Amino acid sequence: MSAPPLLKVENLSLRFTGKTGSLHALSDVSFHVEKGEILSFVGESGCGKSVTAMSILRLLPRSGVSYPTGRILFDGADLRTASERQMQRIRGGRIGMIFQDPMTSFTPVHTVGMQIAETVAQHRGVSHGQALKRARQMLDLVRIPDAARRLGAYPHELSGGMRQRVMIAMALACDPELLIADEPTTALDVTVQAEILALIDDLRRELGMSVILITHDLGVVAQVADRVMVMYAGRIVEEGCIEDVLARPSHGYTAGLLTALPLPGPHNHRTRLAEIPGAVPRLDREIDACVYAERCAFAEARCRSGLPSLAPAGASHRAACVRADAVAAAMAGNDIVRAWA
Amino acid sequence: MILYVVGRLLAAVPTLLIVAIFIFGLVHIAPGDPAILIAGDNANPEQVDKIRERLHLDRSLPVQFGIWFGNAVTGDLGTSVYSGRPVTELIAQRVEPTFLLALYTIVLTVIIAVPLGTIAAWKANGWLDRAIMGFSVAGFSVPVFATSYLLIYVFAVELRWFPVQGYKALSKGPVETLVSLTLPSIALALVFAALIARVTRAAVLDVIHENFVRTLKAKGMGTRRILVTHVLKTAGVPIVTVIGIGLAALIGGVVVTESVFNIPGIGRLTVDAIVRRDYPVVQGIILFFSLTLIAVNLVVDLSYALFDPRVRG
Repeated sequence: MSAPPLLKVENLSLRFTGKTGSLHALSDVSFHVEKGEILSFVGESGCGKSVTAMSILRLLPRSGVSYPTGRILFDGADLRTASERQMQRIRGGRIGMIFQDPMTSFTPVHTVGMQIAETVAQHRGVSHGQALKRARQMLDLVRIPDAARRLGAYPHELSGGMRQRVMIAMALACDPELLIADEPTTALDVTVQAEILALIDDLRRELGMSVILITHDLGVVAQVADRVMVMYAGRIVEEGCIEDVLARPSHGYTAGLLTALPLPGPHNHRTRLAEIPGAVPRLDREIDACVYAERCAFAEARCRSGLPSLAPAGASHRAACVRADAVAAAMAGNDIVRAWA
Repeated sequence: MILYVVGRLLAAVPTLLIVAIFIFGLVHIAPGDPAILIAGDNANPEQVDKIRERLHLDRSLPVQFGIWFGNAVTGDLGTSVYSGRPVTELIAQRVEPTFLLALYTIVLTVIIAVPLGTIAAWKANGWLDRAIMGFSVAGFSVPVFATSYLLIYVFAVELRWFPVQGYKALSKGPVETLVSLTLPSIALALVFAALIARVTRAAVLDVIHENFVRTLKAKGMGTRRILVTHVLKTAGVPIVTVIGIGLAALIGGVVVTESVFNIPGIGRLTVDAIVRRDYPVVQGIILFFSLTLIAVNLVVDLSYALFDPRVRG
């Protein structure tokens, strides 16, 4: 771990601004991505995981979003203050991104071959023929059979899983050092989900790239992630190696997510799934208590007075919870925790 | 793709038949006996009978239609009551200026309107958008003859860059022709540009917030390439439809402009024929317009397949 991290985000904060006021979409988000690892962002819709990813590539719309504060250091350079020209070279060149919905994420009127090739031509400055050749290689790489013929296919002629493979091929066509995958399996059938995850995992080993994998599915995290970052209400609430976090969950929200997971096995399929009571707090004002306190099964009076900061909960494990030890102790009996402990 | 083309071509046949029946019926719906009308006030009954026989008006309606339709298919639309010359010849003489004026106008319109509409959508609700849409409202509100006279005053009378009026035939050199059609084309293009800029803006706005635009940004494509190669092509179908409607309308409806600029086109022929109650010519012109409209629609339909692979089926 002597090499500097590929991506280091420090104190990233940003608000959504509207006529009725502003929302704290991201508050003081700091994390890093090592070379070659898969870091997973987990949390429910609206927790800020996609916004974090989009602000790395500066893809958020300019209207309705405040200029972010903090630093986004990619290979030492701050992307937050980089010029639009520099960003254009990084997007698709050094950082690739894939999106949730492969149905709508392609231009419907161009062949997939053209759409991969234009990315290559844009960043490599090669001829159209060479770019197409690269596109073919990429389709082979993502294990699409009969790649030469598929180059001429339009997006609507491919299945969802096939389209997501093409999406991955397109994002990786210029050998990016980082792949950001925003819910890449959410829109797919369960069987296809597993294939796509395995593909991403294989490719990062083959190509030696880092991956940020955004998901709301802890099952996905457990399958491929090296480290996990749990987000809630625009903040990081727990972060660490997958083994540490799953073996010793140290935040009430992580505990809630784990408890809510359905478990395999004949004796479990008729039991009611656990849920987290209450709703996400309003984000239109500064919060000076634990953001999760109102819904937390472990909350005490001190949780509601003062915002807990991320504190070490293990060797490479941090949690923003004053009751971390109590949570970990209470979760020791959970099936998933027992499996990882 | 071939199936699609053949399908479109076949679909045009019933339209053509209905148009033919309608046009044939026109003479029979019009008040008065066409034979008497053609013979004039001083004709005796034998002369009227002769005309009736010559025009097959003594036969039953279906037989008449058959004869008329058969002639029309072979390009014989009858002769003008006023000048006695074949209708096809009269129309053919007037086609060149009208077609060229329509084409020139459409080219100018597209060059002006499509970029402006795209920019307006890209900068939606900004000052540039407001300025372009304001210009578009103005362009649509001012009548063509008013802009025509203003253009004539500035560019023909004062600056002397273009002739005040008249049309130079293509046979005398294409540059001369273009020069003589420039002012009328600009006058017409201002109106159509207003319309097409609006349609382009709406079509592009529909597409610009779709997910694929975000994908393009995420893979590092520049704004111009995103807008031109991806967004405009995806938004192409409604834009081309309106351009097609505009072209058809231009071929059929530039009477005022042709009058102001003294261009001997179809519009002028139409007005003259109506004023003289020259029914064979009116019939011929309507058939000609219908054919043009069907042809333009066919081309537009076929162009859909060019824009959107999903249409090819």
